[in-house]
Formats: sequence, C-alpha cells, structure tokens
Amino acid sequence: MTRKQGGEKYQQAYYVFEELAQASSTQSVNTLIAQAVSEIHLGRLPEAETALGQALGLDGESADALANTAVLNTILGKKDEVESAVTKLSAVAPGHVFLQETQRRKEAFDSASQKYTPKFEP
Amino acid sequence: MTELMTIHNSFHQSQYNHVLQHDTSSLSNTNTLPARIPKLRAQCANNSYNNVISSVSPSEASSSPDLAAIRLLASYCQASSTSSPTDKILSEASTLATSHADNVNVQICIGTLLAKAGEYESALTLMKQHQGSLDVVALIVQTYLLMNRTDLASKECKSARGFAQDALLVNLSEAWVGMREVNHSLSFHPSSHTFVCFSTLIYDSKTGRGEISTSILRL
Repeated sequence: MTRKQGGEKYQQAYYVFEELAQASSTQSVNTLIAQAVSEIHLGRLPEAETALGQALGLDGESADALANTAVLNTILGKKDEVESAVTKLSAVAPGHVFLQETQRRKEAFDSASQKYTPKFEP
Repeated sequence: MTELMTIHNSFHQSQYNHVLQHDTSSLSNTNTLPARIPKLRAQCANNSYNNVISSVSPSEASSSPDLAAIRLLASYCQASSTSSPTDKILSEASTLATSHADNVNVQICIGTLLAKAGEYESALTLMKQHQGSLDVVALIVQTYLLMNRTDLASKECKSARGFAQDALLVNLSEAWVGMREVNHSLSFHPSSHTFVCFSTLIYDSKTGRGEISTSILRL
C-alpha cells in the first residue's frame, strides 16, 4: 500500500541495474546486488533471492552480497540462513558496516531494556 | 579512445577483473596513464591495496600527482582496513588537494579518500572544481548520499543529465538517488508506523544503499 508512493523510483532504478546485471557482458557482483536491493524494495523477494544467489555464485566471499543475504532472510524469517550469512560475513569482513550497525542497535536495545523489569506469568 | 571508453565502462559496471585483464600494451604514450589509473582503482576496489602501493613506486608518485593520488588512496584504504593510524596520509592528501586541485585524478582519488574519512566538506570543495568529469559528478552524488542530502544529490544528477544525456554514469547516479528519494518520502508517511520500522530496517542494514554507496566510493 505505502509502496505505491515511491514504487516508480524503485522500478526505474531496478531497470537500470537489471539491464546491467542480466547481460553476461556487463554482469558484476555489484550490479546484481543493486538489482536485488531494488527488488527487495519492490517486494519481489523470491526474485531478490535469485539475484543475490547469482552474486554469491560470482563471488562467494562478497561482503556486501552476504550482508544483503542476511537482510533478505531476516525479512523472509529464515533464521538459519541469516545466521550462516552473518557468520560468514564476520569471517570475511569483520568491520563491515552491517555488523557495526547491528551491534550498535543491539547495545541500544539492551540499554533501553534495562529500564524495564520483565514479568513472566507462571 | 574507444579502448579507454571500454575500460571506463567496465569499471563503472563494477567489472573490476575485466578492467585488470584489459590489454593496454598497444596504447599510445599519451593514453598510458589514463588507462593505468582505472586499473589501479580497480585494484583498490578489489581490496588489493598492497598491489597498488607496490606497483606505484614512491619516486613515480613524487613526479606525478595522478599516481600520488591513487597511491594515497590505496594507503588510506590499507591503513583503515587494519585500523592503523591515518593522520599522516590524511595530511598528505590535504596537501595534494590544495596543490593539484585542478587534476581530475586528484579530484577522484583524494575526493574518495576524504569522503571515506568522513571529511565530506573538504571532499566536496575539491571535487566541485571538476571540468565536466562524470566520474567526479558520480562521486559528488555519492558523497551527498552519505551526508543524507538526497536533495543535493538529485540536483547534481539533474545538472549532469543536462550535459551528458544518456551516459551510463548518469543513469546509475539517478538510480542510486532514486532508491533514496523513495525511502525519504516513505519515512514521513504519517499513517504507517509499521512501515517506518520496516523501512528503517532496510535502510540501516545498509543493504542496497550501503552497498551502492560503498561501491560508488570505490569508483
């Protein structure tokens, strides 16, 4: 519903990235990732999964492809896949911005949650 | 000339290995340096910083501001990837930015370096001296996106469209900006808090946006 508001821009960006990513003479890891990200925004998750798979096929250690795979699988609710992508990312690029940002948010959540006492019903 | 175009296009399509494999031995003397710079930048993009540092000798760097600039960029990336101090590199970069501000490769490499270091204003001051270089325009767009100034990035694209029509880099720059403009308008959507959370998730996890900006910074 809300996507309608800006869907056109994502669609236009998708055309640019897809054109480069899907022709063998111009294909690269980065354009495949860009295509996948525009597909995530357009809500085309299976297509995004395919594109990220292609990116990892070209370079299984691409830090950005791994980070985006973690995000996509979070949206899809595939916990195990998220974990394996994050583990691999931590090995190839321990300082990746994705890891830094998730860590920062974890800490912010922990410090905020300290203000509350959880109550568990027996 | 077409040889150089091919190398540049491969670079902008992030096909760094194509750039490196390109045979440039037949190029004329005047084209040797313009072909070598994108190759060295491709090595930086592939994280092969040490190859750049060893292939450009200090004496070569001292006689050519272009090579000095790419060597500094590689040294900066190398140092920051190992969390080593970068102060000395940054001060040398600032000196080069002042002494050779009109050199397009200095604008590209030192502009990238300064933006990576978070020195956005100095990066922009240097890069804005370009004379119609689309590479520099693309980097300016990326720098604005890093600063969350989507409005200024969009303006930059519009002016580039005016002088470069259908160039690959202009199409790419517009696509990068387009992905951000939507996010911006959506996060102010008053009725959908859930969407704001969702959009923040994608935005912050630096999926596309992060990847795209880093890739551009590697241009």
